[in-house]
Amino acid sequence: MDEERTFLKAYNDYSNPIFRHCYLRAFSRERAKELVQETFLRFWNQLLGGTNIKNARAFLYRIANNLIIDESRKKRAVSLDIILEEEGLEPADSRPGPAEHLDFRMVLKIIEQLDNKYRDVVIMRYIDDLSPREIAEVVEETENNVSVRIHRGVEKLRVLLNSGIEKVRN
Amino acid sequence: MDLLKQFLDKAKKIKMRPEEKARVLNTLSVIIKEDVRKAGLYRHLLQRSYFNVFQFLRLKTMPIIAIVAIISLLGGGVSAAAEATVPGDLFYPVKIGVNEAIRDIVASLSAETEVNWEARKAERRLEEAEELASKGRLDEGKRVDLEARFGQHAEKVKERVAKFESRQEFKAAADVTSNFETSLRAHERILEKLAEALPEGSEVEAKLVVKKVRGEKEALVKIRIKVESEVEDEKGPAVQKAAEGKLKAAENKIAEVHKFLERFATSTPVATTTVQAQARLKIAGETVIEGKAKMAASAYGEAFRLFQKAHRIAQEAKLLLEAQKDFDLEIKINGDLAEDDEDENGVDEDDDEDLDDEDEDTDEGENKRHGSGAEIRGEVKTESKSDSDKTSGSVKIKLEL
Repeated sequence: MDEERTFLKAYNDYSNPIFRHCYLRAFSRERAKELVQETFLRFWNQLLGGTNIKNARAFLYRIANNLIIDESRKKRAVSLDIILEEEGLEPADSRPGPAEHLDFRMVLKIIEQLDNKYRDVVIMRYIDDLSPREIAEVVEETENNVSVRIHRGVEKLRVLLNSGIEKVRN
Repeated sequence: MDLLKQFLDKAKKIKMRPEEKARVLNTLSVIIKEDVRKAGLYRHLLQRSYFNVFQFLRLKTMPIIAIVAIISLLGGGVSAAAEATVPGDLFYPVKIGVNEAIRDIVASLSAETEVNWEARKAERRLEEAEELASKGRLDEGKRVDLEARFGQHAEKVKERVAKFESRQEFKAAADVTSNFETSLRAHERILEKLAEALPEGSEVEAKLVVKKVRGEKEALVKIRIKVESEVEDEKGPAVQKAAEGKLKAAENKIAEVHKFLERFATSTPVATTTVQAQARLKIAGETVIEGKAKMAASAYGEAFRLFQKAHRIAQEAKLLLEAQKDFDLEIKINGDLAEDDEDENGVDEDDDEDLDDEDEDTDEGENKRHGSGAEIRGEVKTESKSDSDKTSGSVKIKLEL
């Protein structure tokens, strides 16, 4: 069946990027996997329903983004520290780096400090490598607004990174 | 190193472990498989049939409102009326896209019903070709279409037979192959005769169909011979049971054709075909006796083969009688066993004897088969699950349009 084939290809190509995106926003591996599952399930239902999906990747990000937004509205904000402790922090790349280098835990802490509205576009632009136009589709804003937000977000990120490292050193 | 770059590089490495990725997919697969299964059942009806039918109707020059009016007036009658259509007729798409699509679903209940229906669809394409040829309306476009569809159905039959063989269901394979072979042989002759009756030049298309049918028939013969040897090779009581089943089937078939012949002889004037059909039945009967002797000698494989042959001879006689009735054709059936005259490729060695023109009586002016009131002939074939017990019947519905 055509839809099945389309689905499997999309899963193969995009399940990890979607996972990464969800992880950087939910900070929980379990939760991220659940979101991946839910995202692809909705994707499948759209496929089956005959929706013409031109850009599968953007479509998947849109679904994931909406799910994350819905969730953040419903759930109370839980302290990242608690989440990270529960997690036991299992990064994909768990080689311990030298002290002054950025460690994974810090990455997450920094990301978390970034405002929501900057976080999602920065992740999409610099980690997921989506184009500003695609991001605009996902968040349903104009491309211009998106570009502005990306730049501001990156600046804020730099500031956080630098001050963060300083804190570690001290 | 730029912190930002470090940061981004680290973040990009985040991904699921292979087993995590697989587990999520597993969970999704359960739902997907179920959806695919359900969609498969509805897909035939919803997507292919109605949608395609109305697409086709829209392309015709008839205004849509008229079509809608007709359809609503006729209601379910459209489906019944469509049964009698041929390529080129307005409601032909209904026959394929609705009627056959529905029967596809019904037939998909078992492997046997599925393959028998597939063979029946192949036959329907040939019947349509015959209908068109008899009226001189078989042009290249229609021929190509029918040939292609016929080919597809025949391919599916062969595929299913191969599946039966791989599952060691040799009896089922033998039944299907034998019946289909008979049918093809009969249609080959009918089409040949029809082609002859056509004026010079226009018989080209019909002859091409004959060629196609002959090719498929030859392929079937090869398969049938192979399957028969597989049946013979089967060890144990399976072969005996198969032979017994075939004996019953052959005897039933002969009885059925006898009855058919009786009705036939009283309703139409005595013709050469009738006489020959009787001769064939006699031969079929003799073959059965031969088979019984083999049974007594415990040569069950041989017996199976002979009973199948008897069945084929009887069935062919019936098909040719029907053709004579439909097209007012006299198709001379060889006095000898036609099959013996074929070399192992199923090619008739004494084909020339068959082309006897003096018995020909084609009626092209009058439309005997489909009069102005549509006379629809449906065939009802029921296959019961017990050993190759088959009943075949003809249903005639007269519909005043």
